[in-house]
Order: sequence, then C-alpha cells, then structure tokens
Amino acid sequence: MHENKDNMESILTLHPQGKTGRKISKDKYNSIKKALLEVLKGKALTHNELFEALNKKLEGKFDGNINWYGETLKLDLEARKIIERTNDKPQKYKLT
Amino acid sequence: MINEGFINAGKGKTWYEIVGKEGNTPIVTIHGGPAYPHDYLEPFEDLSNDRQIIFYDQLGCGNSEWIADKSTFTLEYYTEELTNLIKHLGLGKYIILGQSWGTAIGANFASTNPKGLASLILADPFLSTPLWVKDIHRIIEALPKKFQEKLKQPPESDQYKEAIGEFYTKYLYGMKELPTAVLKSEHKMNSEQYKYMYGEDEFNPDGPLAKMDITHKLEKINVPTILLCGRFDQTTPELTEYFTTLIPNSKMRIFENSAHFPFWTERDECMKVIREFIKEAN
Repeated sequence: MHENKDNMESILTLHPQGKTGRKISKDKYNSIKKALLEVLKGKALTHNELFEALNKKLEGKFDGNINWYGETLKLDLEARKIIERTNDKPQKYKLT
Repeated sequence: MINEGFINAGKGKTWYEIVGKEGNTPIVTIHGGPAYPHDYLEPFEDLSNDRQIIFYDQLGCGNSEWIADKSTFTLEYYTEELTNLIKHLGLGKYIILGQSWGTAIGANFASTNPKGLASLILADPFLSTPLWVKDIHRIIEALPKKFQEKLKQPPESDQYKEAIGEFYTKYLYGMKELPTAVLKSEHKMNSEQYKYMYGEDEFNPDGPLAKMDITHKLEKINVPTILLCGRFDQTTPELTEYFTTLIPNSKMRIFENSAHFPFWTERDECMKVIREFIKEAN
C-alpha cells in the first residue's frame, strides 16, 4: 500500500480530525478522487451506498483495494471540504 | 456438533468450545470485555452451517479458570493464549473474529503475520483506549446537559447508575431487552478483573489498559480485513474509519440501526456481510 518507489509521485492524504494520513501514489489518488466525485455528483449517499457505487464504478479498472483507497480518499476530501456529511438519518455524504 | 475442552496456556486453564462440523476455514472468535465471556457472541453460531466456529473464554472469566494473579491480565498474555489455543487445536488455516476488546487481541496477533491466518474480522474495534475515550467524550458532549451532569456523579451514585444504564442501552447494547445469551455473559463476567484492567469509571479508565494503543501495529496486518461497527456504536464510525485507513488490505461496514452489538440488532445483515467478506477474501 505504501508506494514509495523513487520514480512514483505520492501524496500524503489528510484526515478531517487531523489524524495521521496515508501516503499513496498520485495516480491512484486521482483515480479514486475522480470516481468519488462522479458517484456523488448530484446526490447524497450513505456510507454503504457510496462504497457499493464506487466498487461498481471501478471494479476491474483499478489496481488495488477499492474500499481501502476509497475510505482514505473520502476522509481526505472531507478534510479538504470537497465532501461533507449530512445530518440525515442515516447519515449521508455529498459534495459541498 | 459441540466439542469442548480446556487447554493450559501457561498460567491456568482456558476453556474452549467448537460448534459445527469440519468444512470451510474455521473461525476463531475472541470475546470482549475484558472479562466478558463468550456467550453473547452466540449469533456467530449462524456461520457454523459450513464450517466450525470456535469460542473460548479468556483466562480469568466465564468457564475458564478464575485466577488471582493479576500479572496475567495483559494484552500480551491473551495474545499468547490465542496462539496456544490455535496450536492446540491444530488449525492449519483459520479466520479470526474479534469483538470489542477481542479485536485488540486479534489485531495484535494478526500483526505478527501468523502462519495460517486467512482473514481478519474486527467487530466494534477497540484498538486504542486513548482514542476510544476521546470519542466517548465527544458522544457525551453531544448529549443533553442534564444527562452529562448525571454522568459526572460518582460511579456508585444512583444518578450515575441511571445515566450509565441509559448510555449502555443506546451506545452499547442498542436494544432494551437483553437476549438470554447476553445476560449469561453479564452473569459470568469477572467484574473484578474488568475493574483491574480497565477501571471503574467507563469514561475515565485508570487501569493498565488505559494507555493501550496498538494503532502503530495495524499496518503490519497483511491479510484481508473487515471492520464492522454500528452507527451508534461506542466505537464510533469515525474511529472505525480511521482504523480502516491504518490496515492496508481492509474495508469497513456500518450497520445503521445498531450500537456495539450489530450481530444481535442486525443479525441477518451482519452474517450476510461476513459471509460475503469471507468468500471474497478467499
């Protein structure tokens, strides 16, 4: 999961509560970010719905654990105020 | 088919039980507490239709030997106990399923990359007491002021007892009527051991476990892992999300109508999620 190869650019992700982030390759960061933004475009999804949609979108097209990268990137995008949680019950995620 | 027995894992006799017939990869369950014995994990017997499910009581509680030597009540000893149990049962390949405090033992064990471990299930994870306590206080701060005041009273006061009862109903059990199996665990729990290891005040632990934090070991876990939690879990979804990011090959699932016992309150869905995970992981 730690792609620290010299020739690979990586990004240290952020966490909404300032907890430790994870270093991941820029390519993977961008792929997951793009997919998350697409599945959330114009709608709010619960955690389970979001990950179902993300898996459906990326299955067979992403080299890595979609759920792990998705969770890490979701938190990063929350920290960057690109995604937010709603006060609905159940709680949902949407674009800011 | 039920088999039971004891092993002597070093400092005393540890009781175990095997439910189901040999088949697919067996699951070794690890109860929480600490010192809250296996009975409440009964719903996981649902998974025994095609494999064996192994339950055991950690030394010092339930059907295992109740011992006075407090030096045994450590994460290290209980990890060794699990290692010895697996060895005793001759398990070549197995899945670990820990619940609450049992996840600390399961994750600590898994971080050593043990031979034969196929996958890991961490239900309602308790992997860092400081982070857990911080989150509990975040929950409390969001509750009505009157309720917060009651929780500030001494643990032996009626006001505290009333408030903690309400808190447990919402954030621990997630149900008002407790099933017989949960009551059995309550009855067979070693409260003295719990108080020694964790402390008397649920929200301000002062026992040896107060400083427990194995988050730095999580990145060493190299098997497929799923983390489960309830929306109203004492182990909050936010904390579970964070733990998920620390375990490389992991995923998580939130049960929207549950607290710390989703395997009771959303039993069918929980078993479905576990079955799918095991299938996918293998």
